[in-house]
Amino acid sequence: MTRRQILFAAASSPLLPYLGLAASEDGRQAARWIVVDRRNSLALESARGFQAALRRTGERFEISESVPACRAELIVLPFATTLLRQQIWRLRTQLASGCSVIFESGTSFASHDEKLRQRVMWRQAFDIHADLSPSWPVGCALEYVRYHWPTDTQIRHFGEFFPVHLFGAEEIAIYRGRTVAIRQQIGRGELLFLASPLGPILAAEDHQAAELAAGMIQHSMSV
Amino acid sequence: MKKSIGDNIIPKGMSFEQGLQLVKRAGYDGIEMWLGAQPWFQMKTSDAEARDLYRKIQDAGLLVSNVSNSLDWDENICARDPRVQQAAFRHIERQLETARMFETDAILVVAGVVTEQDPYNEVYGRCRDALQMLGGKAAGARVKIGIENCNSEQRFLLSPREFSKFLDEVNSPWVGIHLDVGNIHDDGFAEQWIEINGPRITRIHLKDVLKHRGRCGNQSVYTNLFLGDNDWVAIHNALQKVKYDGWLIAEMESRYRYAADQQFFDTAVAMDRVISGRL
Repeated sequence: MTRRQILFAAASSPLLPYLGLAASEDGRQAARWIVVDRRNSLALESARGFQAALRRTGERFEISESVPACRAELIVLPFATTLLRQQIWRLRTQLASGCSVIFESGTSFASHDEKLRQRVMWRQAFDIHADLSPSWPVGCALEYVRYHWPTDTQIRHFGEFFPVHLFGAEEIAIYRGRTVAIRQQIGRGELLFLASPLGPILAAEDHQAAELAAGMIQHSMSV
Repeated sequence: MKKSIGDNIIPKGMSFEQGLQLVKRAGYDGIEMWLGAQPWFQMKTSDAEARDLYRKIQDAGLLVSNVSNSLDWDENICARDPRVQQAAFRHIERQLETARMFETDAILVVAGVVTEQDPYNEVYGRCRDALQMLGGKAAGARVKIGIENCNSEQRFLLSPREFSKFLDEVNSPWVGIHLDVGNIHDDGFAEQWIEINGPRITRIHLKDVLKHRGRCGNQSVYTNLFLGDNDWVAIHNALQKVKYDGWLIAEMESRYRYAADQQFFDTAVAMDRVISGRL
């Protein structure tokens, strides 16, 4: 951890309860982490959803602003935007050593330039290739994102997304016929890449989303 | 999903047996029995008479989807008068008993009616306490109590989230929601009620609603399926999402003025379209 990160963590920790996020479930170091950009309100909302999901499984976890350097079993990045090079390097190191990563894309409501930056980052960091975000007619019928892994589940679509290509990865969810979530082996670990947000739906207490997240977390423990 | 329709819609002048034949011919799988609505099923109906009703239902090749009642509007569990509240408990217990006789596992209860005289918080507390007690009886009978959302008529539990929180407070796996997708009016969207309360839905009433007629004016706000403002595609998709696979029960509050039997057939066909999603 850098000196800057130590100072940032010390300065921001008293604010965490006001953001609806606890720093950790208890004083001990956890093997599961939620890495959240506290400046992004949607990331905070999504993090609250994943926090609730982790609590339901009884797994101990910690919340951090940066990808942990210590060995982790599961890292969740809610509504993740463009990451710094060092953060990407740490994620790849964690994946290589067997960590599960749930990477929820934060492209929804981002500017066009930010979306393009994220697409480039996904390609460089994880070799994930995405199409441009399709536009749908306004006011069309309610449809759901259909997950077929780890459970057969439907959840509401939330904001924009980039349909992703498989290139050897396993499709785990579709929306209007396009792949919007995949799982991919990277090193000894596994990346769950969610191009359509799940965390805000969890925060809204959706029953099916809760079952889905529980399945993902349970699976991540077995990788 | 299976289709049912209430015995309260059997046209006047038709016997129970004739009504059952009509329900069967129209393609329904079952019938909803309304305690207090028709002469053949009243509080004074004995156990032997109730068993005879069930024999007739079986002979017609039908099942009983659930037992509802038309008595809650006068005898409600939220009543201040203990005698009225006791009367409500009696008819609900009778619903539980007859549900067992009819080999079904759900009843419908309208819990709470807010008026100028009976304020919201008072009704809320009394309903919660009463349902906690009745939940124990329902568990004993292994029959679920489905609290119907009669939003506009009750002026109570007006949002899906409040309904969900209310059920949290009742805290019984034997007390859920009997969802009426036509009763939501302009207070919200039926599909969101399904999403939020999905696992706790005991049964579903189907009808359509004309939102531009307001809430409950002189003209009925209710109409036949597909003639109103419900988003049936969204309702179908939400039912798939929450994996609801139980009974859909037609509750046609507006009746055909002529050829009353035709409403049974038309409604059954419309229900098939809701189930299949051919919308």
